[in-house]
Amino acid sequence: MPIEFDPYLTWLGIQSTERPLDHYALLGLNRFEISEKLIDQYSVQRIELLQDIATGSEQVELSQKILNEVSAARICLLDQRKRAKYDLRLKKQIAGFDSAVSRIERLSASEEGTKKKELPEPLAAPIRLAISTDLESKKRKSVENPIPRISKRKKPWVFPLVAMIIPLLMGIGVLIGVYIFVTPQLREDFEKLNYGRGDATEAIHNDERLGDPLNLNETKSLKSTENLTSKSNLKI
Amino acid sequence: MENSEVSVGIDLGTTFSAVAHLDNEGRPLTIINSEGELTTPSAVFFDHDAVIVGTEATIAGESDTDRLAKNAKRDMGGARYRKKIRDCFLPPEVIQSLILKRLKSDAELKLGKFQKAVITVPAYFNEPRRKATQDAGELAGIDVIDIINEPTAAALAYGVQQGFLNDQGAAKELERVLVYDLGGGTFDVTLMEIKNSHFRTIGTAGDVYLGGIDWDHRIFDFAMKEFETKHEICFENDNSLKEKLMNQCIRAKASLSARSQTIIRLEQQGERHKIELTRASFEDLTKDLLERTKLTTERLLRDAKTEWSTVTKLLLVGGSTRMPMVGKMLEKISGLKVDRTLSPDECVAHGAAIYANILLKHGQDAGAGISIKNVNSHDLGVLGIDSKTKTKRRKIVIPRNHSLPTKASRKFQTAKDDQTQIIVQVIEGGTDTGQGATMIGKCIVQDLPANIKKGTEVVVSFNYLSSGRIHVVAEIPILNISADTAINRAEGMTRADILSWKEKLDSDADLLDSEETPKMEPQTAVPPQLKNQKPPLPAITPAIRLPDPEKPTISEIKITKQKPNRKIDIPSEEEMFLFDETSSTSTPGDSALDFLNETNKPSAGGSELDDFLSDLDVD
Repeated sequence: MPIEFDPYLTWLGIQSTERPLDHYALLGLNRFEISEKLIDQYSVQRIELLQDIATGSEQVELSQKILNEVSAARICLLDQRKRAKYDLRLKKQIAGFDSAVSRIERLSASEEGTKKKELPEPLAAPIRLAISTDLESKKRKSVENPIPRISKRKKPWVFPLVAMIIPLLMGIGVLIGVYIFVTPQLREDFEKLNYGRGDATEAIHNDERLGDPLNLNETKSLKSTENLTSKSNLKI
Repeated sequence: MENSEVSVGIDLGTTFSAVAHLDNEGRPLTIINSEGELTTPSAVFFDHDAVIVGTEATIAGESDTDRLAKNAKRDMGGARYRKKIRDCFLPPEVIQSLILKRLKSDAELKLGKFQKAVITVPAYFNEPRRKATQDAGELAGIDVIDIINEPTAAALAYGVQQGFLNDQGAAKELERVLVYDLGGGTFDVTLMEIKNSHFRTIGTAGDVYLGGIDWDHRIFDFAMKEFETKHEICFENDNSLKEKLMNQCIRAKASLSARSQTIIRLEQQGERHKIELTRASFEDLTKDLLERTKLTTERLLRDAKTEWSTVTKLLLVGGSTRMPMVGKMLEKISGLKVDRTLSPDECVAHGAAIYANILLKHGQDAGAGISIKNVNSHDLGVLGIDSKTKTKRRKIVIPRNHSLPTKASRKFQTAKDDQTQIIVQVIEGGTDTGQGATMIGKCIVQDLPANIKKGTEVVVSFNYLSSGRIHVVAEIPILNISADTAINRAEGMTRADILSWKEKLDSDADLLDSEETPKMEPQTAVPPQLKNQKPPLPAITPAIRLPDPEKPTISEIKITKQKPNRKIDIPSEEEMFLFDETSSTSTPGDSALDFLNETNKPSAGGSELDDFLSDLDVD
């Protein structure tokens, strides 16, 4: 099996266990690093190193791609507003992984020991990710606890309760709706209300343009393999 | 009718090229091409019955991308253009020469026949690339009187036009000019000092693969996604649709320099679709690219140990600097006002024409003309093994942005007892561990006497001539043994290659294909010398120098025509040097690096050349 060239490992020394990469890992920083000075220094160092590699490297196109990634990470982390949004997403993402981990734990606990050792492959990295964040949060007291942990022992009666309440609420909603549409004055008011809401939904939409920080990395790693194959065809 | 008086300058760009000449009053003028445009796209389309260059080539390339060659400048210095054109690889020089041919014939419509011209190259172009450019000129039937750096040309054009230089290129006051050049396919930034008529490059930095194309691609990626989601257009496997969209995106980029929003239209199977793009979102899509140019500019100033306050002029070159975001960013970080008095597409060609005029009037070596001092754009060093960590480590002998010509030497040690040979690997660029470095030559001291102790001192000296030739000498002082190698990097195509290609190009027919008899067969298309050759082979001419003829010679140099560039074959650890212990903790730029003999440090200044020539008899 051919060994795939890993530019992040070879060029930047980022261990392959640290995938998917977030902005902090890409720049070689502690996760949720708050010092702008360090972010600036580290990103400049990374870019200069990559520029030196790019001059003679066979993987010029790949180096350009990573240069852009580093530059984008730098911009994001040096912009307070952008970074706040990014951090929030990253935390959510990690928390998501965390709850996924606990779900797996519960699952495997309930199953027989034979299946226990086989954790699903794609989740292997995220587990490490969550653990490392845990350590990191201990290191950095200035950052509020980054992982909103989801309780591992959810009470067994929570689900049926929710299942009952939701249809009930929906029923009430339908009733109100019917009432509004039957009464013309109320209906007019409702339409006005709805119009006013237009801006709010758009704002949410704009917000989504920022994209999902971790998902971004997944697609990137996919792209990088694409890049590699196309590169090998390009050999001069 | 031959017009020998005319001064022609050619800006052979990655995406666009331009030609200028000096009018009767000595003012530079861009020559409008046969399509009525100031610039000609650097694109070549290999049609069935003709080779087409310029706008028509890009249009024809939309529907038949396999026959289109563009951005060949990026491959200059290599053995072949990146992709096969009709099943065969062409040397990039040939593609460039076809562009030059078109430029020349267009200019001749206005100027009459001419031979001589100056061609420009980026400041970071190394010798093989400069030589390749010269060869391309020759293939096109141009007598290239000189190659000049693009930023130098731009400074000349600005200077003469604005009066800070007279028409002979002499500055009234000392000027420190920063030229920010964002072209189609390359970005570079150069700091220059102009004192009287001396143009001294202080430093240059850049990203060889960053340019307007990348901005185009960002619009393209955005537009493709938009068309896919909003209009359900499928681009998969439809190269001609992609090419069509790409051309629309390029237009959109240009229009966003003037307008705050634009519309990208696409026609597919008779249906018209459109999407909108605002300047704000365009700037958002590309801000990481702009940030890279900003960091590179700051890096240059830092490397040159200079601050913005010492810079007197800020010039913008390259069509991509029309994007408002560029000027905004530069004015913000520099506090200077960006100079936009000259057209960024034309000023390089204008400067080249002014330079051609000076050369033609004064002759190339006359003292009356301007003097230009260039720098090496990449670190030159030796790759060895660190004595402590036992890992590969590069030792810089001539740091980048050093005035040329120059010479320098460094001390090393042998790696083990009873070493039989010493291999000095000369590398260019790359990182401290040798990553990304380009191997440009080897100097080997062979058949060493027995019982040479580990740690025996070896002195390696580099002599970098302004011709681009680098002499490498490896010396073992206590044994009085030395070996030297001349790395002639500027070799490029051989004479035979040039002649055979020139013949082909002159007859034209060889580059075309007809349905019945393909005249250009893959086997014969590329001259055999070029086939196995990647970037031009650094020719290594061996010479043995014996400082003391009394002592018997034990050294011998093995001539190795190693595979050049890019791939570095590392000899076994034993054959390599160990670095001096004192150096293992030092970092580049640290004075501790220049251990032992401070006077061996590369020295700047005008007297160097004389020193060099008196020191050593070349060949």
